Amino acid sequence: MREVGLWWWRFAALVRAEAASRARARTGWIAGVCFGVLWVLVAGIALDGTARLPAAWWCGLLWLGVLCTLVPQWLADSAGDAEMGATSGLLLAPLDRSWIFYARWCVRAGFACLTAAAVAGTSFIILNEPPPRHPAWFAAAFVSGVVVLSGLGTFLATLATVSRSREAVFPLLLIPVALPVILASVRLTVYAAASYGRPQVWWEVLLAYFVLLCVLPWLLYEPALEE
Amino acid sequence: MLQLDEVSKSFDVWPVLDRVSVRLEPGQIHILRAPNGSGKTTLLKVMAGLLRPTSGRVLWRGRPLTARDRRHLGVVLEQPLVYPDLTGWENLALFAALYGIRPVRPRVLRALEEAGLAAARDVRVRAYSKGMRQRLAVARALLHRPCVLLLDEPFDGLDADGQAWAARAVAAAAADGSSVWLVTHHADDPLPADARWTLHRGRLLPAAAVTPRSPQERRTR
Repeated sequence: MREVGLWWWRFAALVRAEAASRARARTGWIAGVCFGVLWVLVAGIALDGTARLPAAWWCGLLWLGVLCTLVPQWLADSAGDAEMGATSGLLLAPLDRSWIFYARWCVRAGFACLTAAAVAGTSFIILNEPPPRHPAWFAAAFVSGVVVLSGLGTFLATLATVSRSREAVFPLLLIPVALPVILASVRLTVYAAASYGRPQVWWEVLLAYFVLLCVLPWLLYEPALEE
Repeated sequence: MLQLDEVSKSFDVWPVLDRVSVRLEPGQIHILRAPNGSGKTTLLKVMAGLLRPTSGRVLWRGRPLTARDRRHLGVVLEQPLVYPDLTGWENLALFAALYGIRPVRPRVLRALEEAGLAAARDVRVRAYSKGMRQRLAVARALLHRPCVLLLDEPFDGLDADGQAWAARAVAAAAADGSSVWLVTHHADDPLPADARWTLHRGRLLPAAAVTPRSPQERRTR
């Protein structure tokens, strides 16, 4: 029991350090919000923002905006990790290396939800979208999609840190692997916005990714993070 | 304690280490001095469990090194291995927690004072000078009183006071029974060595005959 308490104490220390570090290193999430909001603005101008878009279009643009918000944050995190070797310091600690991923996922998902919410708010205003028909569904779909995408980005960015061609490996891995998550998120938000489509199967896709993200790092990280 | 058994390491087809075997015993100080690019840092990273050997084994007390065994290792690498946007205090408190040190506060306070960083404890590491970062790196490696210290150029960037403090701290750890593996490019030994090594074409070779220190000498430091 005491051992379990010690593990949670270590995990909490890791989460606190990650959160403080991320909040203070503003470049990543500020750049993320700027990119996301700019994307919505440019899309709004290009599509003549005064006209109302079909729900599927609006949701597609929203999730592309969310991706534009998250990618600079993942890249800034990788650069920050490399700066003084904090990740190597953590890899030397006597804990299962997957805990580093879980702590980072918790913190980064929180920041990702806040920054993605800014993009969603802008997109409602710029693209003249009325409030969703099922606000609770919309919030649940939005948060689930962002949490899973954030986990996926953190997972792949961490794996890519031990690759010598990380700049190419990360996007090459991310795009195909994230595609079903983006599709699921778009479909779920379309349903929440306009009662259109069947949400059940897309919830299952998100759930499957969530379960994989919970299990795979535990299985893979200890051997995979040794070069 | 820590032992390398016929360890080889290649990057792609480029061999860096070739069948390296070495055993670190309690209280021993080993100094490795070799030209740039000879594989010193690679060897240290293999010992620390950051790099997987292409062949051979890294053993802790006769069995393969595990995640739990990493608590016995204190490592200084080229980078300080800390979060740049946390303060010196926050960084050491984090590592104290990760190594299961309780209570955290007195140990961290003492480490910062010994490293001469007490006045800068609430300053972010990003604002530290190179020497202060190196002091923090050494303090972080010594914080959990490890059985084995793996040090890659620990005196780099330190002023005379800093070098004297780091040498004293490492020597004291060795006197308490820690083994020390010290990588340096300085011509003079920063510490009295039990063994000197060099790397030549990936092979670890004794650098020169060295008279090992007697147990009495170890105790008197």
